[in-house]
Amino acid sequence: MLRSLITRLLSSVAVFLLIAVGLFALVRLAPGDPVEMMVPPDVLGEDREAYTAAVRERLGLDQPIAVQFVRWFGALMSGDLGYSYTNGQPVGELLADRLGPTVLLMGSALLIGLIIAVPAGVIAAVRRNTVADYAISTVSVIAIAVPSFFLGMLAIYVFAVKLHWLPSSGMHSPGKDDLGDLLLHMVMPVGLLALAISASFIRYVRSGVLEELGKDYVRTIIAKGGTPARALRHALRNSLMSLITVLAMTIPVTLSGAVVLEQIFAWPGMGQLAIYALTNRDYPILIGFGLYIAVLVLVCNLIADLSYSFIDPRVRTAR
Amino acid sequence: MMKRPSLLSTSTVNLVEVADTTSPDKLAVRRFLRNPTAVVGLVILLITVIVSVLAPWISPYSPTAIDLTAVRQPPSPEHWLGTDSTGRDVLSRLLAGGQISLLVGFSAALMAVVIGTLAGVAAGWFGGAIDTILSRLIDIMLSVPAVLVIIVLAGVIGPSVPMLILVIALLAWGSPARIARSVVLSLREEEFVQAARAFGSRTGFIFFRHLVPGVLPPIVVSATLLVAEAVLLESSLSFLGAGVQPPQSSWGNMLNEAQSLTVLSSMPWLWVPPGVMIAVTVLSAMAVGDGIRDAIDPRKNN
Repeated sequence: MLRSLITRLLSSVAVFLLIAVGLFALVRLAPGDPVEMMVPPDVLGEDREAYTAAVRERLGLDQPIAVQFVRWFGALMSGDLGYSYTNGQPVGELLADRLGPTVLLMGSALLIGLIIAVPAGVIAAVRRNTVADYAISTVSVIAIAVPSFFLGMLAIYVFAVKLHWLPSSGMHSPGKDDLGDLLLHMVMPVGLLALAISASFIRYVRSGVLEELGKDYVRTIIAKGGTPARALRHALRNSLMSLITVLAMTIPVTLSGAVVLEQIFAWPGMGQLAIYALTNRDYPILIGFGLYIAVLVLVCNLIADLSYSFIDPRVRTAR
Repeated sequence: MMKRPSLLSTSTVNLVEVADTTSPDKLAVRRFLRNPTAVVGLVILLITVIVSVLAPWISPYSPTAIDLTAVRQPPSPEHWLGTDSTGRDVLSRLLAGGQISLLVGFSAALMAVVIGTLAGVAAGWFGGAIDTILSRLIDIMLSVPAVLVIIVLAGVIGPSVPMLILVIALLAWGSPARIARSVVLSLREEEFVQAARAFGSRTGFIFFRHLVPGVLPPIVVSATLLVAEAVLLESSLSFLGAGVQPPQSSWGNMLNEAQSLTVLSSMPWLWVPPGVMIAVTVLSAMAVGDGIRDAIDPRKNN
């Protein structure tokens, strides 16, 4: 058990190192000189060259690439992600400022998404091939197929423009800072993200529960006179295991959905920062963002692996 | 040694021809055609593909022709879907956008399926360390959010359509690979595969004669779903500005250009058509995929 934990941990660290090297190489090998963009256009001739050299030195870009990497990685390990090319602020701080809103958005959406998806998936499985099953499956298919930005625009059109029920963007109305205001701003982005998460999750819950319900022990329970509810309880417990792995697979949906929805609803989270960095070619922010995604994906995979072996005694002893 | 495989293969082909009327393939096609959702999906998808391929010939205007005398006009007989903020014809842009979206969708799905099938077959057949490494890689790939990876890459290298296709394919091969692997795990125990091995067939021959054809049916299902996924991904990325760049149009970036509240509230012709097209295309591809799955494996349906 301990050995498998250490192997997993080490392989995650190795993958993270690889990603770090890859991201670093990517920026240094990218076409175009980011330094050029930082020199004001009215500085010309020799002045311009001097200015460029000064910027280069300030950013440490005049050193050999290996030195740059070691320096960069050393700084990274002490939590220093460099400075934004466009506004000079430390990337670590920029990202940290955005962490709260993103966590709030993703956390509440994940929670609501699961609260919807688990019962809906179980109902779809137990009442298989009934109206309830078809309705749940249809809604989830549509929620997967209609892009969230289109749904977002429709929602803004209906609830903000036509009905004036909800604010169309941001986290707070100007001059207001209370919880009620925040909750109003959360309804649309969180609701749509929760919908996207539950849409993909429902399918897994349904097929997971169906698979368990078809197993011998369920038939045995029924044959021994157990109620269907009792059989379902056993089946649910056993399908829980596969659901934890699936939870790791909803990371992409959650993260990508969050970025798109942050953009539509002007939600001041990391996704919006990443899109800002994309349009402004702000490499340090993009690299910081890339590292943040890498850590998140690796940690979630690790948690999924470990909880898998905690829950299932067969996996626990087999390794 | 060299002759035997070819003898075997000719005899198999003859058998299929004899059993023509009730071959599993024909039965599957018949089952597919009896599924109304799948047929409707297939028809819509075919129409979308044909119209998009013919776009340069049938679109009424050039998708990038600017006409500043006719800006943001509502739908009219001259411009069926109106014009955008620089006077470009929305219908022409919609057709051109479909071309890009479908190009990205189909080529990314095809690449992902080729990589996935080979990787999955190799993992299932060889087992051991190859299987462990590939399976681990698949697990990681499946949990990587493609949208975010492409945002980082587009920000650093610059956005482009080939990059989009390549990255989507490289991140999407996990699901066909997982399917191919599980099918090969059971195929390798089948008598005909055992026999081929006992004859001393080369690995390459077993791969392409026995294993790849065996995994193809479920892989086709996975491919159709990947097309849907890739079309969605492309539109999300183009919407975010990391995909197809203006002035070239794509369903996603048409929605991006319509993000302002004024456009949202008073110019629905600018953002409703591309949104509907994405949804309809993705839904029909998913319907076709589900239809093929039910057709080749009728047990799952009931």
